[in-house]
This record gives sequence, structure tokens and C-alpha cells, in this order.
Amino acid sequence: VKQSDNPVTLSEEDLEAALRLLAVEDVAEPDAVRGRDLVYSLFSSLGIGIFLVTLPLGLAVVWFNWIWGVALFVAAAGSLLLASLTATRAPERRTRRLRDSLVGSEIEEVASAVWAKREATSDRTLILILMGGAAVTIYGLIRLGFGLAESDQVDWLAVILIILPPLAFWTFFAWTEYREFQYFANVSTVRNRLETQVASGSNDREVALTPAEFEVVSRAETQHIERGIAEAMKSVAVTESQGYSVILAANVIELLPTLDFDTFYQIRQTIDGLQLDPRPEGARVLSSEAPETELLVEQAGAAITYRIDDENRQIVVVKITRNGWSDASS
Amino acid sequence: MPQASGATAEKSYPLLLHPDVLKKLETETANRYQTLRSVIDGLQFNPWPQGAEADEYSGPGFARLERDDIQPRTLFFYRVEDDRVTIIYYEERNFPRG
Repeated sequence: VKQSDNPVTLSEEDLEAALRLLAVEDVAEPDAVRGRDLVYSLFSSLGIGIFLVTLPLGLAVVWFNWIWGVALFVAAAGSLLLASLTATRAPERRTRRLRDSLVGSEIEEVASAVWAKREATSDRTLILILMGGAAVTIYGLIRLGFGLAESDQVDWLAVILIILPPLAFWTFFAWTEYREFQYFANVSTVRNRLETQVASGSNDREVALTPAEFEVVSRAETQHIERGIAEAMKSVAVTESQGYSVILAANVIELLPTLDFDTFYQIRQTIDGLQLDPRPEGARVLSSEAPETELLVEQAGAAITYRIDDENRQIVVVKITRNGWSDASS
Repeated sequence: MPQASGATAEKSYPLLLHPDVLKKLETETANRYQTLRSVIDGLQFNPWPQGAEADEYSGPGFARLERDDIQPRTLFFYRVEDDRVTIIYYEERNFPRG
């Protein structure tokens, strides 16, 4: 299926794939902002943004102008109350996503990866912007403090430097929340329409999607894949540290496709099992100069001969003997 | 950055399959199972076949290979190291990237 400016007709297979995908996507992120939660989430973001601006400003100003200082503290308390009353799980979810995007990486690696890919909107880009923004805010606070101490004058540039980064970040955050809300709403709408059309019992199972609907389905697939990759990445280190990697000798690679499927499948399953347990029950060591291990695959009536390199956690499958144990077995 | 050569390299890379990849393979039909295994086995000899792209964003050595000559079109995500190729994820792709 290719992208187009015209309505896109889905074949029966594509329709099934789209419905499967949208059903998964619809429940993929239970914490995502949906329905009325969007309003709460936006107010909550606004409250946190104002709090992050007014509290440090109040702390700096109160030493020199207590009326303004107290006013800023009151604004900070009010905004905190607003954020608490309208609290959703959106900030927590966002924070968790930002943290997960950093796991296992040094900040220099993150910066070079973002630069290499010219990523404009990724979570890792956001972290870099956030860190830059925090530095600007801290610089603004120091500048404001020095200005007040030296001349008792408010340095308005310093105030702008303090206000701008948190304001920009929380505005961006609210915008992404809104976009995500819109996306999940679209997923539900397209899913409902397709399901209704399928349930209508029409003999013609082909369905035409508008370009906008098709874009939702495409994005759903991309999101589904990226989520799957992110999930798998969490356990890659464990897989690599605990598993034995496998090399198939050329004669094994040549033999495998010539086998009937059941035999092929049984042998592959047995070899896959060696990744985690290279010495399963029934495996026996052959007496030879380079010790080899042999394992019978009873259902396939074949034996797998392989070498185990514990130091490098590698297995080399050197031979598959059909009709039971190889002649070389002890 | 590694380049897709399309040529068969002399070196062999031991393959390690993520447990989720193994589980997912078990759910495939016979034909697709054999096709997918043959694509994965091919990475043992050439982890940068035609169409493979380095995924620098995920880190050094990570790669994506999209095969549109198998049905449904399938994306493979894996990591190439000097002494190993780890197949981390694969998934069918029926629609354009959105």
C-alpha cells in the first residue's frame, strides 16, 4: 500500500492488518491523555510551568523587595495548587519516557546521536534542550541576584532568561500532549469506522481510506514498531550477556533448506534452545581432539554436532547427521 | 558508517536471537518461518546486505533492514558487533512509514 493524495483502497489483507494494528494501538498506552483528561493535563502543565518560574524568581526577589517577593510566592503556591487539583499522570509519563530514552547512554553519546540523525523532535533532543534551558535559567537567576545586590535594580534581561526556558518547555509539553490526544482520538475514530463498515456485512470487504485516515494507520504502524524496538532494547544487554551466539557451518546452511518442514523446524528449535542451554539433558561429549557435543533431535531423527566455546559464549554447529547418532559418537 | 555492500563477506558472524524474536518466529506460518529464518541466516555471512541501514540513533552497530521482497514486507532490527550479530526485533510492515 502506498501513500497518495487520493483515497486509498485497502485490500482484505491490508484491512485486517489495519484493524489489528489499530486495536493494539488503541490500548497501547493506557496512561495517554484521553477525553476530558486533556483539559486537566493542560491546566496541570500550565500550573507546573508558572510554579517553576515564580518560585525561583520569588526566592531571588524577596531579599530586595518583599512585596514583590511575597506576591511571587503567592503565585507559586496558587500555581502549585492548580497543578495539584488538575493532576494527571501526563507529567509522570513524560518524565518516565525522557528517563527511559537516556538509559544506558552517556550524555555525550546522546548529543552525538541526536546531531548525527538531525533529530528535531525526539525525546533525547528534548532532554538536551531541557538541560540547555536549565543552564539559561540558572544563569538568569545569578545575573538577577548580582544586579539586585549591586544596584538594587531589576535586570529585566535576567528575568526574561529565567522565565523563557520553563515557559517554552511547558508550552511545548502541553502542545505534545495535545498532539498525542489528537492522535489517539483519531486512532479510535478510524478503528470504529472500519469496524462498523466490516460489521455492516457488505460482501465487498475492500475499504477506502481518506489520506488523513491512511496517515493515522501508517503512524500507528510506525509507533507500534518503535514501541516494540524500545521494549526489546530493554533486555538486549541481558540477552547478550547470558546467551550463546550460534554459527552454522556452511554444510549445515546448505542442508537445512532441503529438509521437510517438520524436520527443519525441530532441528531449528533445538539449535535455538542451545542459545540459553548449550548442554541440555541428553547432550553428550564426543571423544575427539577438539571436543564436540552431540544432541539427538528424536522427533526429527537427526543428531546435531556442535562445538561449545564457553569463553566467547559461542556455539558452532558443525554437522547435522540424519538417522540418529553420528558414527563418531562414543 | 558501515555501507550496504550486497556482497558476501568472508567472515562469519555468530547469531544471537532475542527471546522475543524466537517466540514470535514460533507463531509464523511454515512458509514465512522458513523465509524469515533464511533472511536471518543470511546475516551470519553479511550483516550489511543491500537495503540495510545503520541506525545511529540507537547507537553504534545498530541496523535496520527492510525486506520488501518477502510478504508481508518485514523490518529487521539488529546489532552488529565484531564477534556477533544480535537479532533484536522484527515486525511486518504493511503501510508506508507514518
